[in-house]
Amino acid sequence: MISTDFAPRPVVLVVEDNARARELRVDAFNDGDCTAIGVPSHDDAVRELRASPAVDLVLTDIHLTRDPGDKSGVALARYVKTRYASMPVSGYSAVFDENELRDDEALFVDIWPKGRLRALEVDDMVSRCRERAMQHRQERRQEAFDALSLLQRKHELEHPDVELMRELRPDAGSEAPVDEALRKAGYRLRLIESTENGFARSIIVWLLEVDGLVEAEVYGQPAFYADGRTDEEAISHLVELMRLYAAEIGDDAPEAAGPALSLTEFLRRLTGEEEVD
Amino acid sequence: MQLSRREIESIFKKLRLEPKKSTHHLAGWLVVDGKRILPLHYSHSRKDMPGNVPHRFRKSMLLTGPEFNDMKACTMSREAYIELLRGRGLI
Repeated sequence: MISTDFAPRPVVLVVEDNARARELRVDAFNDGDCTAIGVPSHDDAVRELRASPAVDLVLTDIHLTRDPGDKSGVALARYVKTRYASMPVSGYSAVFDENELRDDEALFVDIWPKGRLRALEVDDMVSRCRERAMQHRQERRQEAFDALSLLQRKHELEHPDVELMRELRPDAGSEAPVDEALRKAGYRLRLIESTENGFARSIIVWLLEVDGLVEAEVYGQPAFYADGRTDEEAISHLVELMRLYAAEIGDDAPEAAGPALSLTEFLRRLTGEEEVD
Repeated sequence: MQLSRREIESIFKKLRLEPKKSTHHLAGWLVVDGKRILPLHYSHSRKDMPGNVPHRFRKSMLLTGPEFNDMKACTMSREAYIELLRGRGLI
């Protein structure tokens, strides 16, 4: 699960079929200044990746089922390389030794084969994964910044939309950076200008086609999403939804706390109630 | 993951959300101790949630898969959910 606060902790997807081992790894990453998402299988990892543009690194057990010879962690690494080319994948196995994994090494940035994953090495694994994840995040942020500069030029914004750039600047801590892998995965960015959306400011949305529908998600705000049969319908539903949420944050509404703080601030800026610094 | 409108309606009821309706959505804020914590919404025009929507809904509740199953299966109460969020420092 991804927190909706935007602290600059790298997000690591931990794929491990053993519940106890998964819990231990997730805890180790959370204690190691990362945000960890734990899933038990190849298919769950694929679903999580499709729904979470924020993952910075995948750490997978290579032997994900009890079937002898199963290497679904390798299959997962291959999938990640195909769909998210630049995303680092690290792997470990208590079943396969170095010789058995030699042909698969190229798919992983780090690999801990049988006999090398002792308790003492878990700290080292967390530390190396964190370093790789941070590096990947920085690269994606730079790409995001470049992509947004292009977007800004494409829309001929003579006077930079300060709020737009503030939302999307890599150092603003967004959890949804733009990168080539996301575009390859089918995500498209669309700028919905204030003249179109009826708010005081523009909105950037991710669009993704899934099972014949278009899903739209506000950039950096995954809690705000909607779907429709076309881009236009999904965006229309999303804008309508934002209006519904925004209507609920008036002066007499309950005060915000926790995750709602940043969401409420975002809505206030969108409606023009809160000025940009 | 499958998620029906009926299951979401049951979650909304359990969490005592008071959603507002638009042409496509029902949306409301989870309020705890008089403070807004999370926004949640769903499409009222569909019987089952399509595509990634079940996952997006689960993530918007800040729950893992097994936790969300507990929530759907009614084995997690509103109090347990709030306690879980509190334990994670989200409230």
